[in-house]
Amino acid sequence: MSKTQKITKMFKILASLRKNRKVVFGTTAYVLALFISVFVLLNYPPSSKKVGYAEPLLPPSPEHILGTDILGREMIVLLAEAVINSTIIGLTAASIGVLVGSLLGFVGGYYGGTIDYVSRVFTDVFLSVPSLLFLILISSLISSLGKQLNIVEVGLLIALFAWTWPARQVRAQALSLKERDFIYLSEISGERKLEIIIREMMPHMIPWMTASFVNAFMSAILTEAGLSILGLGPQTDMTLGMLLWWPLNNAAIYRGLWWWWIFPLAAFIYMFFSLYIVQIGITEIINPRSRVV
Amino acid sequence: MAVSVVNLLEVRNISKTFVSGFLFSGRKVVAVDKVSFSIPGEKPIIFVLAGESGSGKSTIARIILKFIKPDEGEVLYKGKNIFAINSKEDLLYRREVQAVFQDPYSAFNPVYPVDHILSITARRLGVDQGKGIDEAIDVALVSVGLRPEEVRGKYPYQLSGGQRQRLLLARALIPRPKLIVADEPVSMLDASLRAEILNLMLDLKAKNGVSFLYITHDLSTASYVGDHIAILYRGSIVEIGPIDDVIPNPYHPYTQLLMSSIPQPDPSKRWQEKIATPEVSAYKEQPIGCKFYDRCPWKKEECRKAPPPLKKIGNRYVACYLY
Amino acid sequence: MSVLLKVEGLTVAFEINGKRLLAVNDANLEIHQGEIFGLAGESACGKTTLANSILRLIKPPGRILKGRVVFDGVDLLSLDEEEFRKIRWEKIAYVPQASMNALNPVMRIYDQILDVVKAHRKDFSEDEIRKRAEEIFASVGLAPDVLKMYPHELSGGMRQRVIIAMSLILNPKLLIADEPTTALDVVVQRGIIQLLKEINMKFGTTVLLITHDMAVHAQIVDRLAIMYAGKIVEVGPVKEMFEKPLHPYTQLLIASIPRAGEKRKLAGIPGLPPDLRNPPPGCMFHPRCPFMIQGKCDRVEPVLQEVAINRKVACHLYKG
Repeated sequence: MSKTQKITKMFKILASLRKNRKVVFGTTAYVLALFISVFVLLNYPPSSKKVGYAEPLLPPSPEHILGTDILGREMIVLLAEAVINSTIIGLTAASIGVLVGSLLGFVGGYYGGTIDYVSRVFTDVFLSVPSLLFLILISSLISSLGKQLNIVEVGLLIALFAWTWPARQVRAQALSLKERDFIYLSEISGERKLEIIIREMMPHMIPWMTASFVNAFMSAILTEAGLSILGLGPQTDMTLGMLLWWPLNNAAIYRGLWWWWIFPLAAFIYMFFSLYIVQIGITEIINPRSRVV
Repeated sequence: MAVSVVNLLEVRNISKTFVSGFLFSGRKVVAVDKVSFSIPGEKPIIFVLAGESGSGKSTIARIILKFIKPDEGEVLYKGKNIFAINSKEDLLYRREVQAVFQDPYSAFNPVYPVDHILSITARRLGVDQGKGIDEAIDVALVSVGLRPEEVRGKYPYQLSGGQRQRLLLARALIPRPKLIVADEPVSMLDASLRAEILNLMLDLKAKNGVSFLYITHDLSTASYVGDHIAILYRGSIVEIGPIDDVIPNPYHPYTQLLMSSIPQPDPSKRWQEKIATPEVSAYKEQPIGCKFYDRCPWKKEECRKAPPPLKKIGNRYVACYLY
Repeated sequence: MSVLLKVEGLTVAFEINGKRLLAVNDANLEIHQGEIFGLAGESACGKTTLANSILRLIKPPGRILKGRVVFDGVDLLSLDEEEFRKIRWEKIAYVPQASMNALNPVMRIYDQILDVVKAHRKDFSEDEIRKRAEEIFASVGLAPDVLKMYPHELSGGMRQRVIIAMSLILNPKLLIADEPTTALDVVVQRGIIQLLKEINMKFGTTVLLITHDMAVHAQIVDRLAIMYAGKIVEVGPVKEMFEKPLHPYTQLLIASIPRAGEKRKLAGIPGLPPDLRNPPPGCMFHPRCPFMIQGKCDRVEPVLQEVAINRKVACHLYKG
C-alpha cells in the first residue's frame, strides 16, 4: 500500500469509531470534564487547594461556587483536581493492564503448548482471586507500614489485576486468528512471522484491545473509589474516591452538608457514565463486526 | 531409493498423527500413514490427490507447504529436504512452490484491499529482473483474465467469488512458481465458474509451464484437468497411476466405490443398485489390516492381518490383496 | 396427476439500505403429487428464498410482495399463524441447508425428537413416539441405538439421516430438502440421494429437492425447474431438460458440468450474475446470452410459457 493509502486506512479505522454516536458522545463528555477541570485549575490560585484558604463548610455562594470543605478548601478546585487525578490513575492502570495483558495473552495464544499452559494458569489464578479484597489487603498492609501511596502508585496497584481480562481476550483472538486462511497465505507469500503479527493480526485485535482499555479504565476508577472510601486511598492527593471519603468520614449527610457530597457524587457518576457509554459504543462496533475492521 | 531423474516434488513415507482431547484421555488420529508419491519435473503436469474427508489430503498439503512437520518421512523438492534447508533456500522454496486455497473469501485479510497481499508477495518473493512491483502484479492479473482496473484497490467483499479465486491464482503466479498446490480451488464456486477456473489451470500449465498438485474430493473435476492421480483412503494411498487409466478402469475396491458413487449428470445413466456399505464413524479404532476391510465387498481373511503394500500392476500401483 | 403444491406469481423483495431487490420474481411452479421435483440454480438465484416463502419463514428485511402458495387447495399465505402451524412439519416438512449442524449438541437424539413431536402434536404418547421414531429410523437406515447418542458421536451422513428421519416422523405429504448433500462426501451423498428416492417410492412422499448440483438432479428427480436471478426460466421432465435444454442458461449450465472420464472442453458462462439492486432491463440473462436478440431481449421480459407438452420456457427464442 502506498503512503496515502496507509493514512487513509488509519482514518478509516478512526472513522468507524467516529461514526458511532455513543463513542463520540461519551468521549466528548469525558474530555469536556477534563477541559473544565484544567480551566478551573488555571483560574484559581494554588492556595485554594490548601488548608485554611477560606472559611470551612461554606455552602455554595457567588464567591465559592461549590462551597468549601471541612478544611476550608475550595470545592470546585478539589473536584477539578479529583477528575484529573482519577484520570491519571485510570490511564495508568488501563495502559499497563492492557499492554501487559495483551502481551501475555497473545504470546500464550500464538505459541500454544507449554507457554500457553503456564500463561493460562497464571491468568486464571489472578482472575479467580477476588481482586478488590486483595487490593484492600495490600493497601492496608502498605498503610500499616506507614507508607502513603501517591496516585501513580495507586494506578500501579490496580494494574496488578487489570491485566487479566485483556489477557483472556487477546489470547482468544490470537487463537482464532492464527488459524485463519489469510494468515497462512501471508506465510507462503514470504511475510515474516513478526510482520504477520503486526501487519495482519493487529488490526483485528485492536478493537478488542480498545474495549479492554475502556473497561479497565472504568474498572480502575471504580476500584480507586472503593479503596479510597475505605480510607485506603492516596490520602494526600485528591481523587474522586477521596472526594467521597471526606464527607462520608465526617457524617456530612447527617449534618446536612449537602454540597460536600452531592457534587463529588455527581462528578463520579458523570465520569463513570461517560466511559460506560463509550464502552457500549465500542461493543456495538465489534459485534457485529463492521466491514472495515 | 536411487533417483536418476530429479523429481520436482518427492514425498517419501510421511506420516502425521494428531492427538486430540485432554491430557490423559487423548485420542490419536493417524491423519497421514506412510504416504509416498512424486511429481516428475520434466514437463508440467497436474497431479491429483483425491480423497474424501478424513483421507489426509489436506494434512499432506499443509506438510508440503511447511505449515506442519511430518512425524516421520521427508519431503524433497528438487532433491533437497524442505525441512532441512536454510532461510535462503526456504525463500527459494516459497517462490517455486505456491498455493491456492479453497475459500476465496477467507483467504484475504478483510482489513486490507486485495492489492495488499499481492504487493507483499511481489516484494518478499522477488519479481522478474527489471520489472517493478506494480508491473509484475498487473502481468499476473492479466494472465488470469482479470483487468487490473477492476480489482486494484478493492476490498474482498466488493469482489465476486470467481474474481477472488482468480486473484488467488494471480498471487500464486507472481513469483513464477514451478508448482502450485491447489486445495479444493473450485469447491466453493458455482458450476459455471468452475469450468473457467479449471480451464485457467490448464492454460497456465500449457503456457506458463506451471505444475499443479490438485487436491480434491471431486473426481469429475479431477478427471477434467488431471494427468496423474493418487487416491487416498484414511491416510494411505490405495491407488496411484495415470488418470486416463485409473478413472475409466479403477482397480482398488475403494476407487471403484468412489467412481460408482459419483452422480452422473445424465438421467439415462442412473444408479442401479442401492449402496449398501455402512458409514464409518469418525472414532472407529485403527484397524490392523487393510483400512478398507469393513466396507470392502471382496474382503478375505488375509486382508485383516496386515495392510496391503502398493504393488505395481501395469502402469499403476494398487494396495490390495486382490492383485 | 393431481397438483399438490402450486406457486402462483410469487414475488419476494428484500429492502436493504433503501434499495429494494426482488429475490424471487413472479415465480410460477406446479409440483405434482408423488413426484420428485428438482429446483436448480446457482448461488443467489432465489431458490432458498422460494423454499422459505412456502414455509412462511421470510422475515424482515424480506417481504412477500404478492403471489399465492396453494397447497392441497389452500393458499398457505392466507392462513393465520395458528392454522399454518398445523401444516408445518405435519403436512410439509423442511430440511434446510446445513440443518445437520443444527442439532442440539447437548441433547440426545431421542430427546430432540420428543421435543419436536410434542411441540406439534400433544396427543401422541411417549410410547407412540418412540415406536414411530424406531420405525422411521429403520426406514432411513439408522440403527435404533442411534436414538441414545449425542450428535457429535455421529458422522455427517448419519446426522443428515437423523434430520431426514425427524422430518418424516409426522408423515408429511411434502418434503422440502435444501442442499441436503452439500458438505457430505460423495459416497455418503449417494446414500442420502438414494434415501430420498426410497422415501418417495415407499411412502409416496412428494419431494421438492433444491440443489445447485445438476448431477444430483439428473439422478433422482422426475421434473426439473431452473432458476436464474429470482426467475424461473425453464421447467420440464428431467430427461428432456438434459437432452434438449431450451433456455440458453440451461444449455450453458449443462455444458459446464464435467463428467468423470470425459475430456470434452468445458465452457463456463461469461460475465457475472446481475446485481439485483440494479437489474438489467428486459430479460435478466440477456447480458450474458449468446443468442440475445437486440431490441427484444434487452427491452421486454420474457414470460414463462408452455412451448411443448410439459415444457415451459421463459425466453424470446421460443413461441408459446
